[in-house]
Amino acid sequence: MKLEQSNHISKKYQQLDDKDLVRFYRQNGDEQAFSELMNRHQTKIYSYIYSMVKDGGKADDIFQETFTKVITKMDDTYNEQGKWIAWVMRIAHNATIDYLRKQKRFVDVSSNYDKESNTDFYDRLPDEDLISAQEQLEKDEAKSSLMRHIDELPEEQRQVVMLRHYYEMPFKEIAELTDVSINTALGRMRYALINLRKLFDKEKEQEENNYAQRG
Amino acid sequence: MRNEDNNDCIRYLMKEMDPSEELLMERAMMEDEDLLIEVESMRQTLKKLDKLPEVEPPSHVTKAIKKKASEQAKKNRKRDQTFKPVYKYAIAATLALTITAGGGWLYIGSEETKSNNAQQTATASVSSPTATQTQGVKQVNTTNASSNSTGFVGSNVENQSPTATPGSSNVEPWVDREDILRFEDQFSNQQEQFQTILQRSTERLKLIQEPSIQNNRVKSIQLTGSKN
Repeated sequence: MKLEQSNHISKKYQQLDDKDLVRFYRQNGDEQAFSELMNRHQTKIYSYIYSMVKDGGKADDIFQETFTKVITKMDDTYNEQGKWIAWVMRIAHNATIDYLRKQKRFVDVSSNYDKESNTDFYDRLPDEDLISAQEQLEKDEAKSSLMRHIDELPEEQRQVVMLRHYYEMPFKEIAELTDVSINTALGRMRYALINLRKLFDKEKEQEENNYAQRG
Repeated sequence: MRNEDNNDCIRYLMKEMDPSEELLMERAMMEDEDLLIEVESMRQTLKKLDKLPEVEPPSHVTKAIKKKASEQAKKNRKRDQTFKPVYKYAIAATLALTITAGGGWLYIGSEETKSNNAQQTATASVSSPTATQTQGVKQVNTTNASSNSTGFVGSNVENQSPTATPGSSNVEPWVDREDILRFEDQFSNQQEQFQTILQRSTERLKLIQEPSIQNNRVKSIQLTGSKN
């Protein structure tokens, strides 16, 4: 699909940077410029939303809501001095968080490690019931073990991982986007990696046990 | 270990350190084996994240968005077209207002200058019974008249400053406001005589000892042709 769309857009647009494309769309209503912008970023934005809500239908809604806001508010709210994609990501992030809050699935951000207390980070790992539920999910071949582990991460850690992974966003920008200090953002990334390592280790251990049982 | 120190591992792995910090971090890892193990372990986990899949949005969603973008662009163009004539009128109205206000201001300014000049003249005539411009003119004319017989034909002193009332007997100072004092006449091969008359006339002008106009705004030389 992306390739098909790209074919319709002249090469001239593909060579322009985001800033120019945004200007073309704002000033002349240039639809090709907007299409090129979407083609460039849609996958990353959608992946981020999808990884956060874990539901295709909801991800579609949030993605559409994000771009509706982008289209209608670009003239009034977007300041051309800033990066367009950072502005779009902020909208996508806020829409995602709003949805998660509405679903009451939002994990309290003011967790202990954020306050730099000495609470063990393993407290934040899913409980046994959830793990057994995850075991059921393991049968779902469509999901990779990595995605499953990512899904198990607390919301705020997943946010940082995804923003960093899909956008290579500097921690300063992640901190601004998620309204936390840069140290908190770095701390979240660190705990996300530690938790993931633990989950991978656990998975490996289980596989070894299964193998031993079969043997 | 402080939280910031722990975060250094992430900053190092994510390449968010400046070269000098990186060097210090590497040195610290060489000295502290636990730190080295932690960093390497994180690096391995981070590598696994590279396999995170990218999910494409469904085509019907992207099509709907692009359609909306196109509609919005049309709406914006329409709005611009509607507003453009209004802007034109606004600009024209602003220009008209500016010109009117400017003209009015100039008119008021000129009126004020006129009244100031009149006031100055009146003040001078009351406070300083010195020679007036008229008198100066008269004096020159007198000289001219006397010189008419010697070939000085029709002398005229023209000053661009406002003229005093012809009938006024009060003496008013002649004030230099960079006005031009011109002696216009015709001499027939009597250049020397003209120079004499001119010299005699200008010699009579001298600085007023006690200027009647003390206004700081009027920084001009006040001269008189009479005995001050």
